[in-house]
Amino acid sequence: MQQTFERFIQAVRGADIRVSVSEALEAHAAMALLGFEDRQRLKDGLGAVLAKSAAEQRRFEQCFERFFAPVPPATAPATEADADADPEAGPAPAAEAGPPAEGLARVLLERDTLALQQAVQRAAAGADIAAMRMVSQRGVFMQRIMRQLGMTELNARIEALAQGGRREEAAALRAGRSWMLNELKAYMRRQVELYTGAAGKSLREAALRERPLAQIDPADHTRLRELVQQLARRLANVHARRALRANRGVLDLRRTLRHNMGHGGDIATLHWRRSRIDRPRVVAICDVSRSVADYSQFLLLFLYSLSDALSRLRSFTFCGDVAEVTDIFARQPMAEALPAAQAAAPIGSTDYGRLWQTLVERHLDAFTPRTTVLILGDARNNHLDPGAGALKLLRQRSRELIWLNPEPELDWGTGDSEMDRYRPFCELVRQAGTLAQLEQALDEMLKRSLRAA
Amino acid sequence: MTAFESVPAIQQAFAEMDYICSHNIATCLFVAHHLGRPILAEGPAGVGKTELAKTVARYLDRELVRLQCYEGLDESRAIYEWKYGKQLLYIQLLKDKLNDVLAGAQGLEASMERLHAHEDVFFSENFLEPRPLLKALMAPKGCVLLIDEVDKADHEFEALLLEILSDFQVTVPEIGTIAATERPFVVLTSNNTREMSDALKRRCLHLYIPYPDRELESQIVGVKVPGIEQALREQLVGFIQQVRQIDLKKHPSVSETVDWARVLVLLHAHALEEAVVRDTLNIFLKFEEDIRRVRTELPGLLRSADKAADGPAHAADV
Repeated sequence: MQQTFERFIQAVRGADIRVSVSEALEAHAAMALLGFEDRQRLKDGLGAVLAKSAAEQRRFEQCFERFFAPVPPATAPATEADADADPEAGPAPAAEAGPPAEGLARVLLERDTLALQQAVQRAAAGADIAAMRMVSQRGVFMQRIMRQLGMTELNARIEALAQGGRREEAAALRAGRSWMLNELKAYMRRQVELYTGAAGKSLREAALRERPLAQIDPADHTRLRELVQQLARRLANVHARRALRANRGVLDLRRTLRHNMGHGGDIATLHWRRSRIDRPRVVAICDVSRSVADYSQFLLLFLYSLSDALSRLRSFTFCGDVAEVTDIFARQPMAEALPAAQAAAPIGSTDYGRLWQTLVERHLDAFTPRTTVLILGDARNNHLDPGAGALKLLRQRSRELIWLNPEPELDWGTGDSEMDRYRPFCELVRQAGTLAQLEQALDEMLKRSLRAA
Repeated sequence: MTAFESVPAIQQAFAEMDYICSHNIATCLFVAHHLGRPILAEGPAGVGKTELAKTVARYLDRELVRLQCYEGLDESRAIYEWKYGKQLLYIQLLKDKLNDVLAGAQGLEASMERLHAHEDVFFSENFLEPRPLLKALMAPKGCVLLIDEVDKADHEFEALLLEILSDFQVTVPEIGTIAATERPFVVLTSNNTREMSDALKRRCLHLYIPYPDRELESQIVGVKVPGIEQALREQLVGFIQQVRQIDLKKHPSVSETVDWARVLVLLHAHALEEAVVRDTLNIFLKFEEDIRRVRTELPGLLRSADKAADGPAHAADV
């Protein structure tokens, strides 16, 4: 029973539901409490303990149905009616007697589904099937299970029978063998669904997060887009907090005394200490030129997702010149906003010098002592004037300047990269070529702005 | 009979108190009681999440302590607060007594020493104003604690709840830790306006209450509005179920179904007629656009509601 339970927890984890150790213990307690008589009750009870949202509840139910899949009753002998509640609950009857090949042959000849199921379950446990993570491992596990079942002995026996002239017996066994293989394949299909679903997915996602954004296969873009939005939502959830927080029950003695002077020192009104937490004010400037095109489409998506949550986010895109896209993000749905934002920037060769100049001339009001400036770009300026003076002015007017560069740090300052010129003006410079790096850098940025407030 | 004896017993007892709970809800209550875990009930508005807590309170015959969450809710309004006014007043009134306390003390040191002996007087439970959460822990016979719409509170507030939900205790720095005399039965409700933190979810049993299916809703209406005719009830529930399939700003909740049923009974309606429905749409639809939308589709909806209501009846005949 214990083993079954552990494998079930594995399967639930496989269905993309996080189960901590304490939750597993809890589930175990719930299982003991609920008993196995009522399948529905067990499902509801375990679901309440393990699933944490409506979506997880659905996945849990699916997983439960698959794991405790009823044995098809058609060929099952009527004596073991309880087998459908839990395929492993009852002790295995006949299959244990005699050498494995002997038992197996008998099971095959009698087409004893139940005995076969139990033998397969045991073999699968021996083959540690819960460790299966990817569909491609199916063959290996199938082989292991067949070995455990005594396939080698069975084959030898068929061979011997055929050569010994007992052809009918051999043919009967062969037919039995193909019946078993069919059953086994069906079983494997269920197991693959159980254990590989989410684990394979999370492996792929982990790989996606570590790969440079520009090199990701277009086939994975949908998935990546989801990941980017997830990231934005999570960051927004953590950081977009309320502005004012009352500091619980702490008396502001100074204000209280001052306000009550008029009452001759008798304290009539009380004042509480409050602290203000400001939401981060961010100006984001995103390079959308050809050299970072693959990269910037995800950054734009990210900015778009973030603009929902951070009400004080102003976004600019630039290529030859700069354009403000805050309104585009605010008004248009995602599918239209992203190309529009990309197209908003006047085409031309990237000119950071002009970018700073234009920002100073047209958008200086956006840069206040409480603003965090976020620049996303490779600082490749086509050997034009870097215009560091204007950038310095922007820096002086704002609270901090953060630069995220998709290129590896080794390439900074090489060729037409002006990163080394700009670097002294930045509070934080990070390489953000992959999703994981981007996440880390932005998290750091938002934390800084919260702390500073 | 011991409380929460078995799942069917819960269902039956709750039904007797006019709360029809699905198998799922009953199982969750059963597990929650025996494992001593809080329940986090999620689901659309008006499916009876709050009512569930009230019914549990009646079932256990315990007091219901309710904490309504809102943005900006903090420790001083949820857990406890010092009665500053009372403290100051006492200080003023006791000024004279101070002389008695300090009488005979020589010098500053000695006076301080005397004061030290009395300083805890003002930070004792007498000056502690318990707010719902602390009140729930201090209830002598235990209680049912309802933390309503926890998704409306801030992120920080969730963190405050953690100690209470896992250990059923509160730490007041000036006094110490106050543990529950009798573990309260805790129900949290959430309308899913935002994700709750993992830490909070981990400490709770998750219960998702969806809109009830046809049969269950019909039972609920039957229990809440006993005067309604069987045929009308089937028709009405069928209609509401249809309306929930349409994309509306706000779908009618169970409580609104019940309201509508009451209104129809008041109007002496025997069947859903187009004219009556048209005039009473505003009972269960709260947005002008929604009303307009449903009005245009009214004939079709009524027809299929009729059909759906007839369906099970015929099946029963056969």
